[in-house]
Amino acid sequence: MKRFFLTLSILISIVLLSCDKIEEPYKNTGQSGGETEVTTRKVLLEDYTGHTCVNCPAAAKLAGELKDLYGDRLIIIAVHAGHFALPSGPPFDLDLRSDVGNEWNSIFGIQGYPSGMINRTSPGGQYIQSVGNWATRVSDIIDDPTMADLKISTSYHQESRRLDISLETTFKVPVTGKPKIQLVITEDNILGAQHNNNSTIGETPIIYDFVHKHVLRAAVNGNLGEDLYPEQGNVNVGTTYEHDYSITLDPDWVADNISAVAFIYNASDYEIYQVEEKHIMD
Amino acid sequence: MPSILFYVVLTAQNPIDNARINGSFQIDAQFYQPDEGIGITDSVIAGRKVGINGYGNIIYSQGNFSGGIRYEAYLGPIAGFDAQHEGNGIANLWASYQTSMIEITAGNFYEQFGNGLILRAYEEWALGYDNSLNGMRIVFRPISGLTIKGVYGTQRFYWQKFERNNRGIVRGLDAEFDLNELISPLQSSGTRVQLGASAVSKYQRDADPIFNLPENVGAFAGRLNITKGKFSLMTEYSHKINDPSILNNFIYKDGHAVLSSLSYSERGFGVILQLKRVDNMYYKSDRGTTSNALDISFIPPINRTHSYSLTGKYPYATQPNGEMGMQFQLNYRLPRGSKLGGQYGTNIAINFSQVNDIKRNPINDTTEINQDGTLGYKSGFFDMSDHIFFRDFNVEIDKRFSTKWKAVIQYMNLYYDIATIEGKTGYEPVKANIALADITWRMTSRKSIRLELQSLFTSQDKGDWAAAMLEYTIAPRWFFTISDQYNYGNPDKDSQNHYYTASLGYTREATRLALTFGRQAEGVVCVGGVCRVVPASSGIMFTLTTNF
Repeated sequence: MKRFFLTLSILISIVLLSCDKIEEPYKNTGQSGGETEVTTRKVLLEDYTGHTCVNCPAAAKLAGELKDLYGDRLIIIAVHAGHFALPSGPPFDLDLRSDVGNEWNSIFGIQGYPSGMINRTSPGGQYIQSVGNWATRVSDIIDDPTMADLKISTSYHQESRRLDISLETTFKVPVTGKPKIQLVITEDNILGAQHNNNSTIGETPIIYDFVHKHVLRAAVNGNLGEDLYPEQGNVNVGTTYEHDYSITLDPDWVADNISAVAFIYNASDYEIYQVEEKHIMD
Repeated sequence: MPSILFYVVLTAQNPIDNARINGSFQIDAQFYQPDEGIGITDSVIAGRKVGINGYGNIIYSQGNFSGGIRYEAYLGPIAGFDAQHEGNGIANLWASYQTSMIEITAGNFYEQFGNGLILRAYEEWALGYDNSLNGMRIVFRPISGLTIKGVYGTQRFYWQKFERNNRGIVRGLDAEFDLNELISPLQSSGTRVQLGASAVSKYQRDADPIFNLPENVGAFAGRLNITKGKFSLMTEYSHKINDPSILNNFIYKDGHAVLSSLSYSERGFGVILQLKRVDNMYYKSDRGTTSNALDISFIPPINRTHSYSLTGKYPYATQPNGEMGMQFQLNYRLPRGSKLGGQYGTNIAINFSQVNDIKRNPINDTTEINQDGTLGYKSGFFDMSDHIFFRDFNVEIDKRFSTKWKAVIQYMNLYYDIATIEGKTGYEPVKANIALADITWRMTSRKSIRLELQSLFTSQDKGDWAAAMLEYTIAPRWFFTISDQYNYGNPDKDSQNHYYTASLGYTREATRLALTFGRQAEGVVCVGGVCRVVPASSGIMFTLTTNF
């Protein structure tokens, strides 16, 4: 009996000792990974959101904190799609949905908001990452070796609102299959109402002047992009593939807030090899 | 594992007297059709005209050994189930060996420590909820009156296989002492005392670049049950160390939960009083998930579970981030032959429950309440907020008039904070009065007719409802039902819909089949305070269950 209680108390102490009491500071601040070298692995965070989704401002805040931490190495696209993005009368009359966003939303079967994808990776078969895991997932892959260079050059003609975009892609490592290249337009700093239930972020239940950032507006080369090159076979390492596009900006978009976001991805599992963003006025 | 399957096959061919196989199957199917009237268009259905959820659960036992397999297929999941259910395969596979002293299980298993405040692994088909553990479990009974349980494993997350670091690991220990059996002088005592203690720890790595997170989070609980004659007291306290997660906005405060229940019962009379306080008690094996999954802890609800369609329209979902509640229930049977009791006696049940938010005070002058990356807030043990989440006062009278006639009448007064419970931020709390009558006429020994009439009055949410249901039963095999729920008080005139259904059911041996045609109103289904939203639908529903 004594021996038994001894064993029991040892077992209990093992469980008890498995506790990490964290002391302050609980949060890391002031760090920045925003070093932009010529070639860096960049990571795309897609934030699936909607203006009547009460938990979405917290997700946007977290995305912003990650952006502060990683700088240019993290690129964010806010995809307004699904039920919570529907315009539903004042003050929620903005329609920030887009064809391309609706299609992505349906391809990846997103039903819960907010949720997101990190470089469209699918650890354990799971594309959709809940907000609480975004930071970990980004930090897991952001230091992976760079697979390709992607350069965006833009030229904007104010009169005609025509935007010319050139992409140059050079793979540094061989990959299997023929990659696809996708180019989209995002708009920053759109003011609109947003449901919110987190009083540490802003008014509840509605923030009337919420700043919607990185809003996906349109696809330039199709909702799923296009093949990186027309011929069959694997990509040639070191070859630079060039693509030129042109788009006329919608009159509702504020040119000063427009960016072009391009990414190259694996056509069979959607995983993103490299992503780049360029503000068109820079 | 293949060797176990092989073993089963062998014994099936060479049946051994004490071998036994039992199990159950269920298929739930829904065929959806567009129904403009209730807002179901082709684009809502989006090509998914059929949803089918099904499972088969088979348990083989022989002597001290048992083993089981559970197959599930959601192709595609019925509307209202998380899309992550979509898939098919073996959900559970396990083997167990049991003697009077020890029981050891390898594979998938379910378990509960005490009331579940720090550990409960369970499965609830109607909710699409399953947080089974995949690992090992040992139950050890070294002496009479002492039970020790030890578990470790990872929890089920839909079909996602556990891989290193994709979610946490759970381990736990529980000891339960039955003092009357342990201490011989107490064996004949009229007072029965049971004590229990448990500890659980979860491990999840920290690779978060923003927060400095605890990788091991422990939770502890102690419980006491005393029964003396007609009185019974149950209480459990649990405590959890810092567990920042997406669901508590990454605050580092400790959590706790207390549940107490005092009851008295004798023939024809019973009262029960329950109290609880919950503070920051979400405890999941993935701190990042917001899915209705991966809970390690379970907070039992202390509210009456209503089974009629309108009294059950606004069910309470427990709020693990903080709540304080109480429930009081009185059951009384007016004796047979008394003036009010009549020839057959009359049962009266009075029930009241209320749940409030806890009061949260700032930790200092400069930090917002619940600010992420801080201790969040301070809340004393008796700090209750004025914010009411839920209140339910109901009275039920159940009376048999003759061998042929019987009736149940019920009144309910409800306060339901729809903003908190359903996440409909900005919506006004629902204040409703509900009345119903349920009358059964037993025509012959086999045939009966039952009529349900219900009315719900409220100025909030979707306004007033009326419901009627007529059921014809031919025992023991058949039943036929027609029903309608009419949302005549909907403030939006175009949404004043009828939700009519016609159903039939057939039962034979251990197989039951039910078929329903018609519309289903949007609603919330809760089991044990865990809820799922059921979207409105129209079409055919089919359920088949069989046990063997």
